[in-house]
Amino acid sequence: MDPLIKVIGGVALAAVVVVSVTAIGQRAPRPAAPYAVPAYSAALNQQIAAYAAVVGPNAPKAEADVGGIKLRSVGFEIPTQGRAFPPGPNLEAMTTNCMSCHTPGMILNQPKLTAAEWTGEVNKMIHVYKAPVEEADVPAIVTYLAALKVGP
Amino acid sequence: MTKGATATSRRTMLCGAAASAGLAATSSWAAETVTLGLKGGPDQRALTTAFPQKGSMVLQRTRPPLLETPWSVFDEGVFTPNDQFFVRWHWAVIPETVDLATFRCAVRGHVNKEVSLSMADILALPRFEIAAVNQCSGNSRGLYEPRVAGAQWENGAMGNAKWTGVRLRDLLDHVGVKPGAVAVRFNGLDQPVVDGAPDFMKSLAIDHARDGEVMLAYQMNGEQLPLLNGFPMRLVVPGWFSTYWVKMVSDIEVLDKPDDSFWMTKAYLIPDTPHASVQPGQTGFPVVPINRLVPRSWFTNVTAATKVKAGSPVPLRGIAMGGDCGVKAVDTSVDGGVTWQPAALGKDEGPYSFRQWTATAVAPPSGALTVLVRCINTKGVPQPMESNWNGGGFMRNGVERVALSVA
Repeated sequence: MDPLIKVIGGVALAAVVVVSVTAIGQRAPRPAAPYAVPAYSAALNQQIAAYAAVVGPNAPKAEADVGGIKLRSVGFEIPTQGRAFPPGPNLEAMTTNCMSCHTPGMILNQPKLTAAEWTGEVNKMIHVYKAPVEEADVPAIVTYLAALKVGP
Repeated sequence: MTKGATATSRRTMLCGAAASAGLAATSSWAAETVTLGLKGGPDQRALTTAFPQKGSMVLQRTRPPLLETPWSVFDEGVFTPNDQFFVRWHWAVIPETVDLATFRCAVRGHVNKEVSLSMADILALPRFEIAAVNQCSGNSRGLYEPRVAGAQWENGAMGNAKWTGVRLRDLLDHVGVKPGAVAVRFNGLDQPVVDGAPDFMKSLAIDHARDGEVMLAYQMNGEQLPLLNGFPMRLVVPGWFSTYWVKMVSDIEVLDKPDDSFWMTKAYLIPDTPHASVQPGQTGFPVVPINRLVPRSWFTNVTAATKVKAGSPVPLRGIAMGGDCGVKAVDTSVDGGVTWQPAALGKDEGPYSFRQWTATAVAPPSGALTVLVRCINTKGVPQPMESNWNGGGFMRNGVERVALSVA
């Protein structure tokens, strides 16, 4: 077989595979990171709710309407701005390492945990959930967490 | 390299967010708060109306959202309104827009015909409706003693709805499952924030997936699902914990071998012991993926703050669930569980639904009226008198008790 045809055949085969995988595993495109969204005021939220109770202000037009059930596309902004970490020693280690995956409220709502327990939690975030935490910052993070005031 | 670049850009954005969030650092972080019964604290939570298609919710975490149903909602009926149905996401990359013109759900893997279905395709399949409680595996985690890390829910990480959609069995028959299939795995549109982190997916054994009750729901309580509850469709697994109820389902994969992915083998594991219970500090016990719901019951019209009049009748009301089957009986006790009186049961909406119950107790001349409630399900399984304990804070279902002060 002509080597050129072989190559073209290989490329064509690869193209077919790529196309079929894309078609089968089709997912919506990864959305933009949602960090820049300002917090809604209650009044704004009520306005939005009154304006578009179901579809949302950003909704595309498409509907699925079959056999008496109609579904309408939706488009909303999801609030992303939560509470801030209270000031204290090592605050910067918290704000630069511990807000990628979740807002501070997740941490501030935890019960009193020991430094050893917090170390376990931080290491779980790094090694299991791949949180972008600087290993060198772990002692500072744990110190901050173990000193958090919990309870009344 | 890609990973590093992504992390850096995210870090930059986060610093901006942290700076602009500075105003929220003061104690006035919430206009209205609620106090949960979490011993040792923190027990204050903001009530928020800031989330789309959601009314007043207990804010456990903003991003990704953890929103708890305020307890008073459960006194209003056995079906939980969509706009106060609890919300729980693992990863923060959640689509804010779902366009039905382009949304497709793949059905693929060990099947005769791989397809990519629009919601119109799904709507054209035979319809199925069932009432079922969706309860988070960690519901009531904040009530454990000793306390454990994780989302600090009180009892409101659950809800009951009438779900409308298509049986998974019908969908699988539509594509034809090949002999040798052992499991079906579900993935949704949400994605991890960081590269390399485990995408949230769950799977069911093939026979479970084809049992005629597991379904893909595109309506709850007669309306399309709120975005945060999984629009355009979510898996409904009647009688099983919510971790299996994958939201925004966009990918259904039939597997010819057991699912060894992270969320089935490393997370949501419970001790393989009675009531999934162990001693604090205990190690070396076998674990299994959490699975079937267990019976529970609650008071909805009285709390520890309720005051009752000496010697007077006290109407009691609440909800119960059988777990993986119906409610056989609900009993109340005023003597610490020595004797039990049967409660009257409300309308039966099906074995997986909440069931309302009512009873009457009589307040003593002075002191406190301590009332207990327990559910016995149709398999004859009662709630245990004492709660279980495990390090994950999963599957709590001990008998509830409330002390009412007598005036």
